Amino acid sequence: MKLKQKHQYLDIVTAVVLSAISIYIITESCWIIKDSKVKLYTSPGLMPLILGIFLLLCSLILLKRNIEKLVLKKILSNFKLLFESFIRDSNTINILKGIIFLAIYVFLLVPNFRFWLASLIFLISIMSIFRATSLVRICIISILSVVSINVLFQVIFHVPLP
Amino acid sequence: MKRVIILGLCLILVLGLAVGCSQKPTASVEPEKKSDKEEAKAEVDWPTKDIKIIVPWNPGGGTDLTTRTIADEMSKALDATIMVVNTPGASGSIGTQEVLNSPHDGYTIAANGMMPFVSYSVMGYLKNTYRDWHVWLATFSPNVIAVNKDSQYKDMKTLVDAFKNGEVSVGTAGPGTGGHIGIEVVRSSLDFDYNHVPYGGGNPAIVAALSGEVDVTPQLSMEMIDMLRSGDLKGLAALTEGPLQISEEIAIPSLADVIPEAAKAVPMGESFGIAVPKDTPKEVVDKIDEAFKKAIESEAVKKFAEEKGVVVLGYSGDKAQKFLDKLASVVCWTLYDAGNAKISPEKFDIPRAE
Amino acid sequence: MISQYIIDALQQLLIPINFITLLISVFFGLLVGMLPGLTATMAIALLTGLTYRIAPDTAILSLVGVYVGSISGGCQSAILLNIPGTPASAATATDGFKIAKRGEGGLGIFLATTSSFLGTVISIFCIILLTPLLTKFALKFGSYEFFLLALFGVVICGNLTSGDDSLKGWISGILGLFIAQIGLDGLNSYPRFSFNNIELMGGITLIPVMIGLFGFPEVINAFMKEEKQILNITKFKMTEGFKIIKKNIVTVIRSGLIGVMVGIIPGVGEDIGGWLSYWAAKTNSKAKETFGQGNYEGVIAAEAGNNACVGGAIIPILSLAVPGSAPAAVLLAAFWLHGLRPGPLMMKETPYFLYQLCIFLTAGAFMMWILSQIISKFTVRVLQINKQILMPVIFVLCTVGAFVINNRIFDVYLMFIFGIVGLFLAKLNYPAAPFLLGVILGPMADTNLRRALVLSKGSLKPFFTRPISIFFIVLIMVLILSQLNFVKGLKKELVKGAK
Repeated sequence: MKLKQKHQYLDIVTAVVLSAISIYIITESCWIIKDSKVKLYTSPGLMPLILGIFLLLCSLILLKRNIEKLVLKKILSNFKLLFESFIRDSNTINILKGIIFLAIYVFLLVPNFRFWLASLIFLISIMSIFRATSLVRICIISILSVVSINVLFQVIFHVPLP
Repeated sequence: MKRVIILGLCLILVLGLAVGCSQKPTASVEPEKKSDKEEAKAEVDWPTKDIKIIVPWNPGGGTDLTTRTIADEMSKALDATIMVVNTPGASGSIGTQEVLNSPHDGYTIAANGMMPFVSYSVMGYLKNTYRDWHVWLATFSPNVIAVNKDSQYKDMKTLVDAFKNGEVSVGTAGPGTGGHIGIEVVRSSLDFDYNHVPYGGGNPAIVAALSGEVDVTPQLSMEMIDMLRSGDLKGLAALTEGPLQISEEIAIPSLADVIPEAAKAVPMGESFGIAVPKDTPKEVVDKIDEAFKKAIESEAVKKFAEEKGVVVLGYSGDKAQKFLDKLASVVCWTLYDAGNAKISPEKFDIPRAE
Repeated sequence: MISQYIIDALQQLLIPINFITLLISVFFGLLVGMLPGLTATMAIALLTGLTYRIAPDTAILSLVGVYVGSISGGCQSAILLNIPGTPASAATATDGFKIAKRGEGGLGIFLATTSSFLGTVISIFCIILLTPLLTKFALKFGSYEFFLLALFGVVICGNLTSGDDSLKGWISGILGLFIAQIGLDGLNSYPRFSFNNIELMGGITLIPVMIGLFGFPEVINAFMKEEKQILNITKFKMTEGFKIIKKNIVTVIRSGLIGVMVGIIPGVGEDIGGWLSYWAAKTNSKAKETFGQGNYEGVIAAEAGNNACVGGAIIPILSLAVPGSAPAAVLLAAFWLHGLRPGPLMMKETPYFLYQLCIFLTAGAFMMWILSQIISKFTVRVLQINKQILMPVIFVLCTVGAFVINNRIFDVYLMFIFGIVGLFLAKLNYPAAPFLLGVILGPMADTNLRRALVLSKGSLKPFFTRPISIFFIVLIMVLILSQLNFVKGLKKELVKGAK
C-alpha cells in the first residue's frame, strides 16, 4: 500500500475518533451549562462547547478530504490489511516494548520504591534489554546518573524527589 | 568523550558536596532529650531550636511580607532563628494543615490572612475553626473603594446613586476574596446590585480599574497603596471607622462618614497574623505572646505599616478571638449565601452578623 | 544624574561577590533552562527564598541572572534533543532540532544564544527609552483583547507548524485548549470534566504535558532499530556564525521588538514571544518552505523573540507593579521582599533602580552568552552519545522534572499519558506545538472570554468596536481563510498569472 494511501486511511480513523470525542465534549458542556445555573455567557461550559463544535467541524472536514473517491467496501477490506501489517511491523513491537517498560517504571517502580532504587533498576534493565553496551558500563552509567541526579536536585536545588 | 562525562559528573558531585557542607545544621538531636526535662521544669526553656512559620501563600503577597517583618522582630526578641517557609495551595489551607500535622509545641507556627483563615471550616478545607487556635493579629488593611483618576464617579455619593441604578461593574480578585467580601458587605447595607467581574488576583483587578475596564475596585489598601499615593487611583471611601491617612496630602474618608446608612459595613478589611493550635503548652504561648508584643512595638513594624498604608493592631488572646468572631460572622455567611461555601456556618455555631 | 546611576551600577557589578553571584546564578539559570521540567519561574522562586537574607543588590542581580539564563538555556535541549527545556523554547525546537540533526548543533546553539543576547539587549533599550509609552499600550489590553490574543496564538501556531495543511495544526490546538479546560474553572471554581477525581480537579499542569508531548516520542525513538548512525558533528567557526547573524539582523531586530511587545502584555510571556517572532520571520521570508526544515532564521527569530520578552515583561513591573509574564511575577515578589517598590512612584522614590536593573540585565545577558559558548562545547557531544544510553537517563530526568513542579506523583502519570498522546500525534502527522500552546493559552482564552462577556453583559459588540480587537479578528480571519482550498487555488492562479 502506498504511503499516501496509508496516511489517508489513518486520517479517516482519526477523523472518526475525533468526531466521537467532540460529540462527547459537546454533550458534556451542555450538561455543565445546565448544571451551573448561571447565564450562558459566563457559564463554565461555554468554552468547551465552542471547542467541541469547532473540533467536530474540523474532524468532519478532515473526513471529507480523505474519503473522496474511495468506495466503502474497499475501505473496510483495506483496513484489515493495514491493521495486520501494522501489528507485524517490528518497529511497532519495539515501540510497544518500550512503552511497557516506561509504564512499569512510572506506575509501578517510582510510586512504590525509593526514587534512586527505582531509577537504578529501570536504567539497568532497559539498557541491558536493548543491549546498549557492556553490562559493566551499563552499571557504571546508571549509578553515576542516579547519584548525580540525586545530588543535583536534592542538594543544589533543594527540591524533594518522588 | 567518556572522560568529559566523568569530569562533568565529578564537578557536579563536588559542587553538590560543597553546597551541602555549607548548610547550617538545622534540627539537632537535643530536643529529644529536652522534652522529658521540659515536663519536669516549671520554667520552660523555649525556644531551643529554630522556629518555622508557614506562610500558606506565594512569596511577595500581603501575608508573606507582613509575616517576614514580624518574624524578623520576633526572632530578635526570642533570640532564636525563625524561618519563614512558603507552602501555598487551596486558598492557604494546605500550609495551615501542615501546622496542624506538626507537633503542637510552638516550633511550627501558622501565618495567614484572617479572611481565608476563618473560612476554611465552611469551605470544607479544615475540620476545625479559628476558635481552636491562639491567634495574634498584627496588621489590618481596610478595603478601599477606588476608581481611576479619570472616572466619572467623583465621590462616593455619585457612585452609590449609580450602584442603585445597577450600572456599575466591580472588579475583584474573585468570589470569596477580600475585595469581594468588602463590596458584598457594603451591598447588604445599601441594597443594590452590581456587575461582578472576577480577576485572578488583587493586582489584576486593580489594573483593570486603572485601565477603566471596570468602574470600581474594592480591594485592600495594601494592594493599591502606591497607586493611591501617585494619584492614578482615587480612593472614594475606605471601610475604616475614621479617615484613612494615605500620605501627607491624601486622606480617604471613611464610608461611615460619607454614607451614614452604610455604617454597619465598617470596619472591614483583611488582617494578617500568626496562630498556634490551642493545645500548645501555656508557657510556650506566653513566650510567643511576649515576643509578638515586642515585635509590634518595634520601629521596623511601624515603618512597614506606614509604607504599606496599614493599621497596626497587635491583638492577642480574647481581643483577637472577639475580632475573629465578628469577622467570621460576616465572611462565612457571605460565602455561604453566595454559594461559594457548601457547609452552613450554623454547623460551627457561627451566628449571622447583626 | 542618569550617568551617575549607570556608573554606580557598573561599580556594583565589579565587586567580587557580585560578580561571582552573577556567574553562579546565570549558570544555574542555564542549567535549569536546559533540564526539561524545570522552568524559569521555578528557578526564580527557588532563588528568591535562598537570597532573602542577602543584600538587595546582590539578590536582585542573582535573580536577574537566573531569569536570563533560564529563558536562554532551554534552547540547548530544544536544539539537541527536540525537547524544549522550558515552554519558551518550543519554537526554537522546530528548526533547531533539524539543524542539529545535520550535525550543525554547535552552530545552532551559537545562533540561538547570540540572538538571545541581542534580543535581551533590544528589550533593555526599550525599557530605558519607552517605558511610559509602552505602559499605556499595555493598559489598552482588556479582557476582549486577551481572549483574541490567545485565539490568535493558537491559530498561528497551527499555521506555522503543519506545513501545507493547517487543519491538523488547528485540531491539535483545539485539543490542547480543551485539555486546559479540565479542572476547576477559573471564574466560578466549577469542576469540569474531572470525573470526581480530586487530582483532575486541580487541573492539568503544563510542564508534565510538555515533557510528555515532546520527550516521550524522542525516548521511544531510541527503541527503534533504525537510528544507529553516529552523527558527524561539524565544527563551526564563530566568524561564520556572526556572518549569519549579520545577514539576518533585520529578523533579530523585528523579533526583538515583537518580543518586547508580547512581554509587556501582562500574562502573555516568553513562550508566545518565541512563536510570534517565528511567525513574523516566516511570513516575511522569501523562503517560507524552508522554515521547519532547519532554517537558521527560524532559530534566530524564536530565540531573539523569547529573550526580548524578559525585558518586555519587566516594563510593566516597573511602571505598574504588574508582571508581564509568569517568571516576571516571581521577580516582582522578590522585589517587594527586598523593600523595593516598583510602580508609579518608582521613578520618584528610587529612580536609580531602573538603570541599575538595566545594567544588571545587560551583564546577565553577556554572561549568559559567554557561559553558553563554553557549555555548548560539552553539550553538543550529547548528540554523539548512543541514544539507547542517553534516552533512558533523559527519561528519568523527565520523570523528576514532571514531579518537581507540584510535588505530586499524579503529574508523573500525566506525563506518561500525554507522552502516549504525543506519540500518536507524531505518528499521525499532527504537530505537537499547537497542542502545547493550547494548554498554555486555554485558561487565558476561557476566563477572558467569559469575563469580557460579563463586562459587556453578553453582547458581542465590543469585540467589533475596540481597535485592537478588530485588528486581531481581521488577522485571525485572514489566517483561517487563507487555508481554505479555494483561496489556495486562487493564490496559485494569481501566481501563475503573474509569471
